[in-house]
Amino acid sequence: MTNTWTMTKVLIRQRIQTVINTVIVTIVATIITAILMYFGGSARFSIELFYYAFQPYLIIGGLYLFIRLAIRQEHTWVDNYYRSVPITNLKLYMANLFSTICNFVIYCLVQSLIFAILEVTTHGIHWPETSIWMDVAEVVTILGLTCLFIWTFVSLVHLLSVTIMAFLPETQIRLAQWAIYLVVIITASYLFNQLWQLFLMPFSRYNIAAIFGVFLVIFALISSLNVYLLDKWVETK
Amino acid sequence: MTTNKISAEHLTYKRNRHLILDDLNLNVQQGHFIGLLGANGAGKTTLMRLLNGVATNFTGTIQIGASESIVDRKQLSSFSESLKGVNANRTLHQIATDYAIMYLDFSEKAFENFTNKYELDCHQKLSALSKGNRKKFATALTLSRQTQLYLLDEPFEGIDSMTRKRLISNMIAWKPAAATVMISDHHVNDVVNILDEIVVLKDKHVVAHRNTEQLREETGMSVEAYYESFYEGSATDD
Repeated sequence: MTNTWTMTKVLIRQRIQTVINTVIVTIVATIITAILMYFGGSARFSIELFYYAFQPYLIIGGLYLFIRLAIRQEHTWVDNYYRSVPITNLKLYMANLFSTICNFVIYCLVQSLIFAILEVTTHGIHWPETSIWMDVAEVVTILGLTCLFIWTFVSLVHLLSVTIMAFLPETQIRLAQWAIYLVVIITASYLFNQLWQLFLMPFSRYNIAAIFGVFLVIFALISSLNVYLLDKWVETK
Repeated sequence: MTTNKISAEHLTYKRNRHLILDDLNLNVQQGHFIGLLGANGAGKTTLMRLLNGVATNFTGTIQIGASESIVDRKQLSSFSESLKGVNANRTLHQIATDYAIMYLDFSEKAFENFTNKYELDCHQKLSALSKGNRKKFATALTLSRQTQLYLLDEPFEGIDSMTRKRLISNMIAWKPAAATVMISDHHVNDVVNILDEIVVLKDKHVVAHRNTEQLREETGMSVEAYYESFYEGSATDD
């Protein structure tokens, strides 16, 4: 039987090219933007130009990769290529989710390194106050948990829709899909509104342990449901 | 050895409120080439998906060897449709490398032999292959595992008749004595010479399961004529 780590390695390797491509595109886009800004006469040619040009692409690239990884993750549930492998659905689930996280973390680390180099070159080395690091750590933790929540939630919606659609006559599938989308939009709007409230809270009011606990419970519940659906109902295309 | 290697008892499978297999029963002995015959939509691919374990919403029991577990069935069977969903921008070599990691019973040496015999260039991307070459690649991957049951779903589709004959003779030379190979194919005449048994699917059931030699001796009919007779309504069941 194939083990979780083996499967994780395969999935990380298969998706790493998407990470590399995204990093390359953000760098190329930064260079092109910096050159255009220089020739447009809006700035003098310096590293600072790259520093400012890089920031929006860092975020756009992150969003793009986040969605691409979610799509790749969802394909895994319904493709023979992955579901034929002799591994339990729980292990496949863990491997799939973990490889998505790993690839996204790799992207964040590489882009953070580039950003840090540009920052140091532009503004020199200056360590912020210790209290700032705590805030940064909290924001990073909450962002990480949010990503995890969204990926598992997307899987839940996908697996539920595959399950429901397998029971419907083929002529009613399109109608059911729209009904599912409607329910998802309403549910997601509510959930993301709650998340947004969390982000808007001042740092001092954060109880990071409580937030972590709530996320963990929600993650465990959604994941249990996902594995159950994979075990009992979700078949390949 | 006459142990039933593959068995399906009272197998019923429904999808999108459409009954595909209904109370199907099948017992197959190990070590044979088995032809799974039936018209389009008869349920050949579905039966293979069920045996392999990628389709799970059925009633009844499926057993390969002594095991009914889905994970064990995936371990004990190698299915040619397992390539569905692979990133077509990957090279054949990259796909085979991943296969070797994901399937502990995958033999890279056997794969190399197959790709040489099938004249496949492993540096090519999957997307660059013709339909016939894709089928050859899927067959090479499937047969490179060292397992008990091989499920080949129309492996010769899109392959010219000369190459088809060469592939069949390669398959005869390759087959381990204990392995069971189930082949579904619309060109019955092309594969008939390697088949030890045939299973005919019609109206959601197995309507015939015969040893090919006995069939020829007892009925005086060719396998193809026998199979086609089910669609003319002139043959008796097994």
